[in-house]
Amino acid sequence: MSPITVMIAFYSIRGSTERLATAAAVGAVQGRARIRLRRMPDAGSLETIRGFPEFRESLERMRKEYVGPTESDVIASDALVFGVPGDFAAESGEWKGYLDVLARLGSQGKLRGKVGVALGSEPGLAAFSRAIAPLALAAPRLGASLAEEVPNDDVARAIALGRRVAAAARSLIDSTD
Amino acid sequence: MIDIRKSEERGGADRGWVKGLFTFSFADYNDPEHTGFRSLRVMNEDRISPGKGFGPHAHRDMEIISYILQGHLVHRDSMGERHTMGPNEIQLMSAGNGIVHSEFNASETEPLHMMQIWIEPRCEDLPPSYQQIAFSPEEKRGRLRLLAGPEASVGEGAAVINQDARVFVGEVATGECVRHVLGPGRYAWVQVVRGESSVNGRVLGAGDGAACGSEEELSVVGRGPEGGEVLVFDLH
Repeated sequence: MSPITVMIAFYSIRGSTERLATAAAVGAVQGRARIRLRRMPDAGSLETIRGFPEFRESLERMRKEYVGPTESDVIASDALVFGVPGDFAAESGEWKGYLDVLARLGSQGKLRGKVGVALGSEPGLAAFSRAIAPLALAAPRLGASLAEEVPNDDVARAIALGRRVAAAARSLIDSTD
Repeated sequence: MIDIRKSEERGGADRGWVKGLFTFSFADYNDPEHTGFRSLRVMNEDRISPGKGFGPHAHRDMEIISYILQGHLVHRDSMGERHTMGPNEIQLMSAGNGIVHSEFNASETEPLHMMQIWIEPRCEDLPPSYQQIAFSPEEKRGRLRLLAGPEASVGEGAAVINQDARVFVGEVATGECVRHVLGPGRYAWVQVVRGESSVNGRVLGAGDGAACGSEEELSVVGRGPEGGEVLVFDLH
């Protein structure tokens, strides 16, 4: 079985996207992948926390526990899972710099053969999918059948997604060996 | 037969905020002569700075025991468990088919000193689980107090481990002796986590470990000015 690495990068303030990202990570581990679980750094620094007093505890915890994704994380990973909040905007401070890094890596051919998939809630999910479309990441058909298989449980669906991403990445590697 | 693994011969890692001493190969420390003992795979002694810890990371197919010597540990995992633990408690996390967790020093001012032990499970792909059990300090004084064992052998006071292994803790005062009978074909690992002790006459200091095979009984005697505290692993 080919060893594979799945990076799960997400942004979350309330903790709900973190929960989905963590579930996708568990699914990837169930699929016998190594994982790198990363949170986008807050662009607003302490002002962000002050703006969301009701989520202060989870936000402060996440700021302490996670590190942000790096370019080397992307290069070392066979699959990229993006945990996207419902209010995602490509120009937001949290995402723009990293999307620029991905665009540059894509133009250098360094994303070739990597699986890419997003999870989260609309309308952010659709906006994110548009933003990463030019990267030409391998996008196996994951969404519709998952929704049918696990219709009412976002966490279970994220776990299943992680498993499938790991399997898709391994299949891609095995097919090119 | 008893083989001693001396404290000062252990591997280690110093990342500034965490200083680890590794009895067996772990992470970047690789010693083919010391990769584990029976189902025991990891025996780490960690000192973690205030407020610091390990961010979310994954485990699979491993029984992971945490035992605190000083300070408090805060644990959070993908099953929704969030707990703080301190001395005289055992935490047993069965990683099963996949778990993501973080572990941090719960204090912003006090250091954390702990043991983390990994034991191979009896089989792969088990469901993950989390157990944390507290006990009074008196329960380990002058005796071996069961911390974990297979389901059929433990009551409410010990964690269930998915392996044919029993884990005990004991504190022995200077000159005091506790005994443990090993069944036929059984092995034991004795790890001194505090003070000084002897095992069947072999002297062990803090951080030393003893691999015991072909011994019918273990005799653990406290030594030095304060006696010792030991973790005993009865293994298949």
